Amino acid sequence: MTVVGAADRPASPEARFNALFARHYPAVFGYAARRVGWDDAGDATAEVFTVAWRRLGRVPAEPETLPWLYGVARKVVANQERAARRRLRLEAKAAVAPDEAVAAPGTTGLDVEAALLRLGTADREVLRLAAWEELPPAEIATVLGCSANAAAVRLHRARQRLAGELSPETRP
Amino acid sequence: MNHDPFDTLRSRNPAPPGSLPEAPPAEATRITSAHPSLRRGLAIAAAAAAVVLVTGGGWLLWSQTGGRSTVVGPTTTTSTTIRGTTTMPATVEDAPIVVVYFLDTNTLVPVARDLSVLNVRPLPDLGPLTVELLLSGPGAWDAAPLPDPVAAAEAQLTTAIPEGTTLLNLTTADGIATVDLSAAFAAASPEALAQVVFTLTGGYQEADAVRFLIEGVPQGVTSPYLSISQPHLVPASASSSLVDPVTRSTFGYLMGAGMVQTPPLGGTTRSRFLVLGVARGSEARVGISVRDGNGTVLWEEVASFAGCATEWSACDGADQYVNFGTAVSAGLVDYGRWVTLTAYLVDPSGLESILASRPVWLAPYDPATDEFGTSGVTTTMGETTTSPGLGDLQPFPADLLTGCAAETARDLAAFEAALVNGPISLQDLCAVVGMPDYQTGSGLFIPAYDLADGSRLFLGYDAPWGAGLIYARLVSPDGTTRDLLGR
Repeated sequence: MTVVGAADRPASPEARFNALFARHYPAVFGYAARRVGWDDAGDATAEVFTVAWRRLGRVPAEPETLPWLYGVARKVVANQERAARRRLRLEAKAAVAPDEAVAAPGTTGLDVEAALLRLGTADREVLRLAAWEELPPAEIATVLGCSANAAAVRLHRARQRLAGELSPETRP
Repeated sequence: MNHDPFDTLRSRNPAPPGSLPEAPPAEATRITSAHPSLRRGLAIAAAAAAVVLVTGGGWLLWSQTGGRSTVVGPTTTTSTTIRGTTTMPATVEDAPIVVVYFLDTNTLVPVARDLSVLNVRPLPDLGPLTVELLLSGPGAWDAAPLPDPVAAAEAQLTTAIPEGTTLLNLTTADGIATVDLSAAFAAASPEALAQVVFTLTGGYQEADAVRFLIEGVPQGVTSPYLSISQPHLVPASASSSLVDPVTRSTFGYLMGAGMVQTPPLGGTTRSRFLVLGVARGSEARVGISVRDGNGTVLWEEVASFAGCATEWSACDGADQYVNFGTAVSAGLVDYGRWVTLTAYLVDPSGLESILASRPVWLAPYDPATDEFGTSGVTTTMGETTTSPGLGDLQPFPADLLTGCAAETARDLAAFEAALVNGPISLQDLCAVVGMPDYQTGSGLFIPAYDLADGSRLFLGYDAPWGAGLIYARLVSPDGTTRDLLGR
């Protein structure tokens, strides 16, 4: 029996890939789970790492590896339209479900998530990257393929729009 | 208490870090073994690149009649460069064509420049020569007169490169071409920047990105995301929000509704050749027609779409560019003449708009090398033996694919069944019918199977790992051909 990669030196592409796979799989899985749901996240994650394997020569070194993988994941997720639509429907249902712990109007979790869904896709993504992936603007920039300044500006505006969605004057 | 909704959002993370699964080790092995190893893929890509370099317009000289005639190719073997090497190809003697990008009303158009007319061997360093040809503009190829159809077509083209721009230096390392231009280029428009970026990247160029210097001073390009104006050059020290290096994606909008990349304007094709390009929108269809000088349609077909990740962009939803490709099949007559290749976009409502219309040279038919017709844009001319023509089938490398069926199917029905749903990846196909017998290729990656009835099946893939099936051509013992994809 031949063991794949057994004879490879540590610097082989397989070894490098295995290292980045082990290190970043959870984070990429989390990214996918937050957007297409837990059930489809495994497939999306596998696709992201397949791209990484094929383009191993272009995967940047740490600390830019994970933002690069998020950038790939963003495109993979966008491609999984069917799953994404299902997720959105679920989120929409959740958003109209009664919230048992009613807090100040406009600030409950479900209100915020519903407001998130009313925002444009670009705003939604930059907010998620900051809130859920906890990326600083420089790394958001890598994911979105823009400059750090642009990412910071986009995040600022998206936060304003999120707040605007929840303010009494602009709520439908 | 007044909460920032962003903080609330933060607390609503549907997959918080502590809840995430560890990496399944078997998954990594599955990914690396399910696809050909990277090094192997690169070797094949390089071989394909080498073949394209020597053809598609190479090996040709102008004849006195304004047409073209084939000449014996050089005696040296094909030299090649692999993406990722650190320098531009030095004196690539067997690379007698380069492609530069000019503009047709602000849309980029690839234009062939046949270097074989240069009576110099070895040829000058290809990278700087390419930039020089770009800077000299359309219609300004003075090594030989342009044939009438090309001259007429190029008369419609413009260049946005500022007058007086000269090349000071060009180096390529790690996939980035660094081009140092004279002060005149400091006023470059987005179109001028795009001409340089497209000329130096993509296709079989080594670079994927371009870094600009003006008189040795590093420049950045204002981000199209941020600036109200369109991207332009700014000294890198002036701002931290510049794009550097620049890739094709920055200028995607200059491709309009799409672009035909192969064959370029004035390029050479064989009796059977490949048309490759990108078009915007997955809903659209692209039609390809070949007409003679009288406008008579010699060939017409709808191209197939082969995956949504282009060389410079990945699949990212609506309004993206997608690859299209088609193999223009045999059946054209009277080779050895100029034809007009037209690609038109057909939107879902049936409206047609022209993506590109350009003269290409249909090289004389040569039965010795055009047999069975692998993609003619890349097949080699008769006299050279340095590149794989179709008669040059290589045994299929045993280590390229894993997970193939052990018993190889050799009856036509098995292949027809595997292809009944249209294009299939080589990986998926070999899982059903087994490992191919041969590979050849000439720009395309072409595995082949021998069938029990004596026929041979050629599969034209547009990627070296066997993705993007463009044709499945069955060649019977009597020489007749049929495409199992029904094209």
